Amino acid sequence: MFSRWKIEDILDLDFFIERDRETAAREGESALKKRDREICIKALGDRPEHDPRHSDAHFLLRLWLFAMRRGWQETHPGAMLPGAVWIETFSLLEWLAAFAGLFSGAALAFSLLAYSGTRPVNVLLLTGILLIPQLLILACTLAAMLFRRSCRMPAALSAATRLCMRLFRFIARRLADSSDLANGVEDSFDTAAANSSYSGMASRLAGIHGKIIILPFFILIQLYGICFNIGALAAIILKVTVTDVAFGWESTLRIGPEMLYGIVKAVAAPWAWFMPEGIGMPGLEQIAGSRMVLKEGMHDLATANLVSWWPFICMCLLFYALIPRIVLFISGKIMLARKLRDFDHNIPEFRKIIDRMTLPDVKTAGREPSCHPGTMSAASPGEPLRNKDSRTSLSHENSPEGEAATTSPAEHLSSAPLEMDANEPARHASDKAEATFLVPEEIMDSVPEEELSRLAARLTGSEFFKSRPFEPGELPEEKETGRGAADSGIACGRQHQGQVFILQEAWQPPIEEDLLFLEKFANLAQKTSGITVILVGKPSGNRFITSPDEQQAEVWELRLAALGNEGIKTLRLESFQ
Amino acid sequence: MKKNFDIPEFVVAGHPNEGKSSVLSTLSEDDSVRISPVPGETKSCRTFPLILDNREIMRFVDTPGFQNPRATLKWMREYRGDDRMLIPAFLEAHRGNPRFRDDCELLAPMAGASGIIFVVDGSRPMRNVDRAEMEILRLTGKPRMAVLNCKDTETAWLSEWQSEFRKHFNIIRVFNSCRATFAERIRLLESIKSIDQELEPGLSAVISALDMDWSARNRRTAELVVFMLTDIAGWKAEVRLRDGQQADKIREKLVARYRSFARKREKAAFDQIRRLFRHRRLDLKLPGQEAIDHDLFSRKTWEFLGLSRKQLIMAGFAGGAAIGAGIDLGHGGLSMGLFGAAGGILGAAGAAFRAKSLLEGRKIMGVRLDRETLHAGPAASPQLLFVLVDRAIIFYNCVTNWAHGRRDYENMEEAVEFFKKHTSCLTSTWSQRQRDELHRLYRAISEDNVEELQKTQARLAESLTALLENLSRHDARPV
Repeated sequence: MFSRWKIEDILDLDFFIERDRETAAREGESALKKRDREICIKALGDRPEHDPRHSDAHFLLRLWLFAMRRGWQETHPGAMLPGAVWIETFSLLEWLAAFAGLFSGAALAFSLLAYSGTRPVNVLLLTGILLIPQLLILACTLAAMLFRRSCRMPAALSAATRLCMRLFRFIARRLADSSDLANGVEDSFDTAAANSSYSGMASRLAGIHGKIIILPFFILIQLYGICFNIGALAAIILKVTVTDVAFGWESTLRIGPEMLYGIVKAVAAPWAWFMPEGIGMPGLEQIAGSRMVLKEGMHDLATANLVSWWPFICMCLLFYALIPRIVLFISGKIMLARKLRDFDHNIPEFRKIIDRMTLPDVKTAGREPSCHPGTMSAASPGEPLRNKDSRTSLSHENSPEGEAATTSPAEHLSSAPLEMDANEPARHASDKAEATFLVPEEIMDSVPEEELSRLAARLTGSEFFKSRPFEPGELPEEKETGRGAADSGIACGRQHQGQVFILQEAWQPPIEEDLLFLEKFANLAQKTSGITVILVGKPSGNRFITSPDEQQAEVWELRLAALGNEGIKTLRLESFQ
Repeated sequence: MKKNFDIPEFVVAGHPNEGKSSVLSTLSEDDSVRISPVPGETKSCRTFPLILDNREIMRFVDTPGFQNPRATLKWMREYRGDDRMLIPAFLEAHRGNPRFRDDCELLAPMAGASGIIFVVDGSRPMRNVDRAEMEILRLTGKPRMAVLNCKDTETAWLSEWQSEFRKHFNIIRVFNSCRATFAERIRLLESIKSIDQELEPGLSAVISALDMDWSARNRRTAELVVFMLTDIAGWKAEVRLRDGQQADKIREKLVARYRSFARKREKAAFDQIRRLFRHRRLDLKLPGQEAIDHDLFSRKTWEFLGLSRKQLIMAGFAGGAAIGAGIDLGHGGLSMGLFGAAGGILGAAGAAFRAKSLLEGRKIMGVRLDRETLHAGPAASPQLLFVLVDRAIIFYNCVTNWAHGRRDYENMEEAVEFFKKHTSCLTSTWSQRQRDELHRLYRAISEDNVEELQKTQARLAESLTALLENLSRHDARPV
């Protein structure tokens, strides 16, 4: 695996991210999560968090990219990725820049060195055209770089950058159209992803990755500059070697040889230490001897003086054009390497990939209900609202309890679950009791007498009542001895035409055994006046008998109604004070 | 999926309508679980596996409530066989009896379970039927944990429950399935570790994974909010006015367009956040977006050739730049754009000084050259960002505090109001440094500075992530 990022990697990253957006829209994020987590586990083992590389974002991104490329190659054999297109495009641009530089430099130098033997080549003109624009451009380049840095001007705003990007886009699209890329991509989705990636990659990358994408074009320009100067130098050396070229200087201005010598000496300072006067630059005598004066003609000029200029011209090109370009070229390379080394992975799109890879895939959602082995598949008797038929079948079910419950009502009475000590007087016990309240045994002691008394008064018009405890849910046949409170209560009811009220806490959900109990009990009491189930709410403060929650009361009413037993009435206690 | 029959299984049992499904729905962040105030909603066992990287670590089994606890207990007490065969014997004895269907369904998974979690509604009094159920569970001989799931705010019965639980259970936890936060969910899972030591490594891995996942969700939420801010505050539009068109009408249309965009963009971000936190049924809406409306139209500019003064300068720049670029290329691109810049500046200066006077009131072929254009956006004040951030934080607080087991969607407005009042990290409480980050983002948006925008987005997202982490790891508050 590579150790540092390259432009082509970033382009491919961008391409795969774009593709993932489409995949996520089609298949959901979970598909990406599964794939990326597998990539991580495959590389780092079942417990990737134990591997030190697990927290290395660069490593993970590279790992992801390699896996994606492998996957792409498997599914799209022969198709080129944007990174490959970039390599080809840029390599082509490099060749173009090099060739154009060599050609234009050589062409310019040859044209300036045209010498017919009648008139020496004008050194000042040659140097001026070859060097001064380049020096100006160099100065401008440095000034522009400083200006951008001081103003923090976004790289995307640079006109040169835009032009380079446009050129790159044009070439990349052409390459993509003509290469295997389009042919290798089979379905329309991939084609769309590829196209959008090529058309938009340069601008997106300029935005996301800042200067990374700008620097290759900077380097390209420097390459052109280097080749231009090499071309010019080569042309000069070739011309001097194979032809006889004379160099002279002239000026309308009153510039004497002394003055020019001073300028030349200053210009040649960088190489004067190893190429002294006479070799690397002309001396005063040679400068004076190569001066062209039109009215005096060229015949008096000495050949030694006329050829003394060419090393100076070459050294000028070398030191003031070629070396600075090489320096800029190398600095561009260094800057690019540095930018790629500091490649910012802290952008949301990359973090999403890293998260998908590093975060364990945790699923907690429930599976669809299924019957556990060992349970039957009969229709549920626990359905909230059962119909009468189902309930009837329950009452007459063919089970030990069912049989017992339906075969001997008399026995039920005799084994009624409601117990009462015959000797213990009921609260407010009186022969004149109009009503019997059956209160669950466990709350019997908690129910204040006054509340029951007021309840009785409200329900029957009389404050006289009997109260009996009972254990809900206990089936009559389950009691073996004694005539219980229910029997007594029913007897009371029968004797005095009183009613039997069963206090039921409505906040307790109606469960099977409670409903069964009430049904059986109602069957017994039907001989008298049936039973009334009073639905009460949750105890609150000192008050025990409170209004039930509407929904809970409704559940009870519906459940009891579904029993279809005419002996059961329900009474919802509304705002009982 | 690896098949493993030794996966620890915890059966969640209890009386009907005590919130067993609700507890599991919240614990698993699965709001597809059927929950109803009407008892008996759960008819069959439903498994909730904890899957880590395709490996099932453990599973919870949601069961129907006891329907015949007294009869079941009576049968068990009378049972005289091998204790280990108690449940199979019960199932055998009651197989085919529809009355005991639910009891069989809930007891069946207990035979092979690693533990039992008994759920009760701690906001109601205890009754004998509850004691019977606790005794049944004790007779199964399985490790047991009690969860007090208070369905309402009543706490008077809690101590009675806790005191009774101490007799039957080793571990007792209060867990409100409708109010539980992420921290409470994690604490509940931590408690399960104590039931069985062998579960510790697997459960620790799950808890750590859930924790990392939560942090990642917070980070993603922060990013979504920052992108939303950038899009809404950076929205721009311009309309060229034709002859006779009234600016006011166009302005109204632009306002409507912007409002629609802002609303849709905010909703899209909120939907993504909602999905991130696995809410599929929660349709949470915040009150209107009046604050947005006042912020859009900050300027109306006269222009020439449909360009604003700034654009006019830029157009001049472009024209000059084209010439400059020509020079640039002619010299082998060696200037790195300086010629372009110089040419551009010259061109731009000419355009700025001369175009207005040259074109004002003039027509070519009957078409006016100095047409009026209405501009809208980007936002004129950073205040819009503060409003949007506050709304996003309130939304986030609602989403993360709305437990998946909660179904009282009709009370959503009340809950939103509550969370709005109790959101602790709204921008008014931010430090100067945090506020500066929003200002910087606003500047980057206004100046259209891509590089700076990226940096400020990253910084703000980081800061927001820290806020959300802090906010969401608090305990539940009553609503």
